[in-house]
Order: sequence, then C-alpha cells, then structure tokens
Amino acid sequence: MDTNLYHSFNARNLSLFEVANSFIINSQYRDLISLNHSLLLGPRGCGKTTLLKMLTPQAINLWNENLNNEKIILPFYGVYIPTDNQWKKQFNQLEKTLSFSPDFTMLISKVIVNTNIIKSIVSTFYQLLENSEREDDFYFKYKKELCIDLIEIFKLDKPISPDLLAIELSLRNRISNVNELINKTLITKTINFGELPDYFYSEFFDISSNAFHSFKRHFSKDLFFKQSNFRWALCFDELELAPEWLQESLINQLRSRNDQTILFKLTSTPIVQIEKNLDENTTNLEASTLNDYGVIRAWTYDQSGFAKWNEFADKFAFERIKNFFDKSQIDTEKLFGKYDIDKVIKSDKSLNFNDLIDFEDNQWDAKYRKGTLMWNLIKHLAIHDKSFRGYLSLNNISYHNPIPRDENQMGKIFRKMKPIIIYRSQFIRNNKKRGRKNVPFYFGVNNIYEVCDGNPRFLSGLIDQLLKTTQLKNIEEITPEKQSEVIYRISERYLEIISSHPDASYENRGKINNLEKLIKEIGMFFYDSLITNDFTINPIGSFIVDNGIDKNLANLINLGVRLGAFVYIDPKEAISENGVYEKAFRLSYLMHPYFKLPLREYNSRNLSYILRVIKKSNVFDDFNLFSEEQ
Amino acid sequence: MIITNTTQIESEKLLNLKFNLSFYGCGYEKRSAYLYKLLNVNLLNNFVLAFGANQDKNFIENLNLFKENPNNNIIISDGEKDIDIYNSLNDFLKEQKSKEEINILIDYSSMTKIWMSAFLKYLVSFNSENISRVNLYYSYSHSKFSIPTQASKHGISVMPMDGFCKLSLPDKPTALIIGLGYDKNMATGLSQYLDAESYIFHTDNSYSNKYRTSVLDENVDLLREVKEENIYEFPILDINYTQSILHSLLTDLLQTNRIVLAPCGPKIFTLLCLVESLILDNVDVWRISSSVSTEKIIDKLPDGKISVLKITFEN
Repeated sequence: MDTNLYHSFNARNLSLFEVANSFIINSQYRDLISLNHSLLLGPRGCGKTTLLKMLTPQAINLWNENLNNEKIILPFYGVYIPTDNQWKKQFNQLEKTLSFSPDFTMLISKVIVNTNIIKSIVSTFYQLLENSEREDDFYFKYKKELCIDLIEIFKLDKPISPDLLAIELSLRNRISNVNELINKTLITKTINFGELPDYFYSEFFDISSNAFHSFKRHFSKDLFFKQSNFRWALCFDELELAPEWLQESLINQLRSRNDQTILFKLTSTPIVQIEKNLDENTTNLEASTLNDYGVIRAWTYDQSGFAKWNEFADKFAFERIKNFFDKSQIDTEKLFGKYDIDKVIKSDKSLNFNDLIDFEDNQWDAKYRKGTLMWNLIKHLAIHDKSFRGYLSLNNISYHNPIPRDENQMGKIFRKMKPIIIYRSQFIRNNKKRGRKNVPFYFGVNNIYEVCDGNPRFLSGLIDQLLKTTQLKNIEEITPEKQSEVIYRISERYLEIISSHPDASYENRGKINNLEKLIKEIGMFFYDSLITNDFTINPIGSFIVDNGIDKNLANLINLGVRLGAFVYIDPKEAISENGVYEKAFRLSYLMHPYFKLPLREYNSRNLSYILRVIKKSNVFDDFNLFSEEQ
Repeated sequence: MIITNTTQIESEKLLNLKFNLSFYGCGYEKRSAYLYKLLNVNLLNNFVLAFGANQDKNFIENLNLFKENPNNNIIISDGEKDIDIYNSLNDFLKEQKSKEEINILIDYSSMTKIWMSAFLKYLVSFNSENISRVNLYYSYSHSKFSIPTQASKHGISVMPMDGFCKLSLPDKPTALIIGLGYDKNMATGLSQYLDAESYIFHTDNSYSNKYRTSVLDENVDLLREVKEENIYEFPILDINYTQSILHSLLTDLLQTNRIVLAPCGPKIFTLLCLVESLILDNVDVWRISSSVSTEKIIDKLPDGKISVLKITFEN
C-alpha cells in the first residue's frame, strides 16, 4: 500500500500558484496577517509553510484573481525566506571542515544567511514589479533607480546591469565565490580577515531595512502603490533548522522595535528552545507576548482547536475528494459515513447480543437503560473482567443490572467509562487478554479528521489512501472495516517512517535507542493502563517529561514533537529554556490505531516512571498488536 | 585540477599500462587482493590501505600476501581517515618534475567511501605546473552474489561527504537520488528527512538477477512510494551508459532543484556520484551509515569481472 504520508501536499516544494490554488483560509492565517510580529508554532505537516507562502504578494495576487475567493488585503508585503535540512547539514559540514577557525566559520555562515535573505527580498521585489506588466517610463525609471541602490546596499560586484535578474545572478555568483574561498582556505589554512570583501561584515537587518527604504523612496509616489503602507514581513520558515546565531537573533528581533516597517513572521516547532545566555530581554518573552508578538499554535491541543480543525478539515477533504471524482457535488459523509461505534458493536457476532432495545426518547439515561447496548456491554465486560466487576461494586453499581442511579453518576462514571468499556470488551475474554487484528474502531468523517490530529499533510495522505479503495465512478460509502484497515496500516507505516528518520537514533554505551522504540514503550504502557491492567476510569494516556529523563531521550522527544508523533497538550510556554522538560505530551492520534487506543486524552504520569514500569514488564515479548485471536 | 574526461576502459588494458602509483584496499574479502594478484606487478609505489581493527583470518591472509612484496607500503587505518592517502599522493606528486602524465591505479573493491573519495578530493585541490595530467584508474572487482546480512534497523547517521558538499541557497527544493542497496530504512528516512522528490537507481538484470531481486525485495516499501517514472535501472557493467543516464538526469533536475546523491548500493554507482558532484554545482553526496556495526562479515569472492573507470584530471 502506498502510504506516502510526508510527500503529499508538502508546500515546501509547491509553486506559489499551486499553494494559492489549494489554499483554505483558517483561523491561524487570520492571526498571522495581523500587524505584529508572529511566532507560528506547529509540528511538521501542519501547514506552516503554506501559511507563510500565502503572505507573499504573488500568492495573494493569484488568490485574489479567483473571484470565488474571499479577497485578502494584507497590511504588509511578505518576504518568504526558506530553510531546509539540506542547508542545515551543509552548515554542520562547514563547521566541521573549518573547525580550525570558528570566527571564519561564523562569517561564512552570516554571508550565506544574508545572501539567502537578500535573494528572497529581490524575489519579492520581482513579484511586485515584474508581474505588473507595466511599460510606462516612470516604472522603468523607478525600477532602475531601485536596482542601482540595491547594488550598493548589497555590495555586489561591478560592473553589473541595474536589473533584478542581474542582481539575482550576482548573488548566486557570490555563493560560488564563497565556496571557492573555503576551498582555498582549506588548502592554505590561512585567513586574512582584512582582505575579505565588505559584504562579509554586513548585518541582515541593516541590509533589509535599507533595501525596503529604497523601495519606498522610489515607489511611494507611484500610483500603482498608492494604497501601500510599505511595511514588510520577513517570513522565516523552519526556525529550528536555521543556524543557532540566527535563531537567537530572530528571537531577539521579536522584542525589538528598531524599525516599525519590518515585521517578523517566524515558524518553528511547538516548543522553541533557547539557551540561557540569550539577550536578557528574551528571558521573559512569554509574559509580554500580547504586547510584542503573537504566538500562533497550529496544532490541536484543546477542544477549541479540534473544532477549528474539523471545520478546516471538512473543506480540505471536500476539495480533495471533489478533485478525485472530478465532480462538483460531493458529500464527504456519504463516502466515509458517520462515526457510529454502537452500530459496529451491535454487528460484532462475538459479543452475541440479542434483542437489544433502542429507546427513542431523549432522556439522559435513554442509552443506558436495561436492555440497551450499553447495559449489555457493561454486563458482558463485568463477566469477563473481574477488575471491572470490582470497580462497579466499589461504586455501588450492580453488574447484573448496571444502570446509572442519577444524572450525576451518569456523567461522572457511565459516560466517561464508555470508550474504555468498548475497548476492553474487545480485548478481554475470561480475564485474559486476546489479540485482535483489525477491530473497526477508526472510521467515519469526524474520526478521520481526529486521527489526523490537526495535520493537513496526514489528512491528505489518508484521504488519498481511502479514495484508492473506491471505484472512480461511484461515490459509495467505504465500509468501517475498510476505513479502519487503511487507518491501521497508515498508523503502522507512520511509525516505520519515524524510526528511519536520520536523527531518530542515538548510541549509548554501544546500544542504540530510537524514537520508534520510545513511542512503542509509551504506547504499550498506555495500552496496558487502558486494557491489560485493572480497570480504572482514569487510565494513563499522556506523559510529563520529568528530570529523570536524560538529555538524549529529551532530544528524541523533541524530534517526536517536531515530527508530530507527540502532541504538546499544555502549551503554556512557546519559548523555553527547559525545552520539553516539565511539559505534558500525548501520542499523536495517528499513533493511536497502532496501539488500539481511543482518540481521547487521559491522565499524565512522569515519563521516567512509565519507562521504568515498561522495562520491568515483558510487554515487548507478549504484546503482539497485529496477532489474530487464536 | 579539474575533471576533463571520464571513460570506462577494458580491464585487460590495465596489464599494458604503467602505473606511477597503485592503491589497494586490504580487507577480509578475498576479492581485496584479486586485482593485485592478477596484475602481478612489482612496483615501487604500491600502497595498501589495511583496516586496522580487523583481525579476521581472511584479512590476515590478504595482508600477508601484500606483505610478501617488501616494496609495498602498508598503511594501517580505520577506514575513516583520508590523511594517509593525501600524504602518499602529496609526497609523490610534489617530487615530480616536468611530468606530462601520471597514472594512478586505485583498486577500490574493498575501500571505504572515505578512502575511495580521497583521491578525487585531493586532485581537485591539487595544482602543479610540473604535472599537466593525472589519470586515475578506478578498478572494481565484482563478487559472486552472496545473501545479504540483515541491515541495522536503527542507528542511522547521514551526513554530507567532506569535499563533496558545497554551500548553496535553499531557494530550490531538494531532489534526492538514491543508489539502492540493502539499507531500506536509511533510504526511506533520508527521503522523509529532506522532504525531497526521490529518484531511485538500481541495477538491472544484465549482470546479476539475484542481486537485483534481493535489493528490490528489501526496498519494496520505498519503491511503492516513489513515482514509477523516477525509478531508473542501470547496467552495472556499462559504466559509460550508467554515467550518461545519471548525468542527464542531474542536469535536467538542476534547473529546478538542488540535489543530494545518496549512494547506498554498488560502489561503482558511488564512484559515479562522487565524480558528478565534482563536475556539477549544487550536487552534494551524502554518506549514510549505521552508527553501530551490526553487519556480519561476508567473504565476497571475486567472480572474475573487473570494471575500470578512467578519470582524467587536467590543469
């Protein structure tokens, strides 16, 4: 099965046309376009790059050209500044190769970063000027004057034509010159700092500021820009991959008020870790976020987040399915159905429930009265699970006739224990655990959205896989069994993908520890807490990274958060000296099918406790998630 | 110096060539010494790079064979350092006065990527008025098919190869070209890591169908996830053809991408990746390795075929 979870819908590799064409406005975008500095946080695949790219003039123009779209007017021009892992590794390699001169390494790093920023500014100017199809004399005059200024500001080699494309070419040559200089230095091992070109000593903020002022100076009287307030947003994507000095500088810039015409829009993982020696202004960043910059969290950590996600996912799925079937009238619910777990349990022949009664009234206890599905299910589990029997008895509930005595007990116990009972009843028989391969727990529109846990890239991958199981011409409901099967496989493959990430392993005393192993240990603990251990209405389903966790393991957790495997559930801190320490996380709901866990958030325990318990148990030996019942 | 030409030559021609320098890798495989025995030359400037940590019986046999010739310079190394190769090249080349052409034989059948790349890395930085041309004869002794050992599932480390990675701007997406080998998880991981459009190169069945099938079986998940049109088969014995398809793909991709080459498979493909990285801008070669060696030793027996690539450097 093709389960290309990461490649599908990756905005990094999409053109601005493709981004604008598939864009859906969401609440995070509305926050991002406000006239302040922004820190957009979220795991990989949550749509940060799409949001940043949709701040560029060309993307906005393309979007606005579609008359069906709600018109967007931005109070600034966005300059999209990319970063990626290949670049990061090139910098790492540079540090290694030039380890004999850290000062020179820093200068090279600054030149390359500055060139990347300048190149992005030039691209934005190009979008603003060259796409306008203007041919009047003023336009050519202003543009030429701007380019002459830029050549000076960027300290470009001369002679050079005053043209944006020539400037771009010169910037590319600069990179080649820097590479040549590195090669020469490697041979000679000598650096004459005084002979380095002046651009080695430029600061990116000054260059950017001068370039923007020049643009304003030349075009402020141009009618084409009459509505512009000449504000600019430097949009740095994937802050966590940038060189450390740049990360620190940008975080400091969030608090600065140097130049009111320049805003910073930064994206990063859910927790930005800072070193303690940062500018003292940044030590109390969180306290003043409302004044200086907005933190936008692009992941699902609360009910409100899920509500927003469901709304977005509905539109996203609709577009995806519409394109697949090439039809304009699509009913997503018709294809995936509603999540109706009661129906699935009723059809489970192994439970052998006969003559179930459905009460049609809307009374609070309608679904829990004698003879109903839940009444039978509670009885059934109590027969097979003595710990559950004990729990009922402790709460004065008769397992022969388990009905709630009042609305209070209904809410506090019956409704709360329903998902636990459903799962335990599938995996426990005669007080013993039984393996089941594919119980159709995961299906239906809302369940599909929830499994994807706020991540459009997961959703696009999952919908594509589900659509492959259908006939192209017929929009017929995909059975819960089929949906669940696809979701199980995606969950399994996701874990494999995570395990093969190059940063997902570390060596400790000759032994390899890996993110996949860590996730499995945590997932199995949660499974045990929910299914295998004595019944509790408050099982463990999340963890806190406590001080008993060493740095290597904390780095793995950080990677898991970045990749979307762990979800930061109590995101009080956006920028933290402690990183993942003292923070609570759950497994991504995309992992839950693999561990056969309900899509719910449960209580937290310290991670060091969880790992200690799981290591003592022989859970790895007897936990075969995909084994069939014998 | 720069690479001015690369071409495959017939292995028989090695017998008629005079080499100014020869380098062999001495490991536990019988094929380590295969070419050495075949050429049967008694040169003054033979260098044998031997894996220091290896105490395997086959290795000692191979080493003893190389030691029989007192003129052979044995260099004990861990396979991760290239300084000894630089020193050897430096000592020899710096002494040459008005030499038109230098021929160097490199039997890389049992060399690490670091060793085999060191010669190229050195020569691109080398500049001498006394030498106008250096020919490197990269020779590879093919082995009989043997069942692969289980690759390490975890403990992957990836990094650009020193000398085959240049700074670039991240304004174009990355295209990843994987030379397929037995490290299935490594290739998948790298593909995800780089958010890259992936291209796969694997051997066709013109040489060893058993090898081809076992590699494809090992990478079945990855092959499903890569677009069909991005999968290329190459005839391992035809280096010129393999290089031409790799080169044309690279030049095409470079219009819109930066490139990472990740050779996990046959060494001949690795060599071509290194060469292309030096010829073209914005083409990095990454090394993928397991941080803890879990591989069992397999004695690869030579099957008699030798592939030779002549790489010419000129001032």
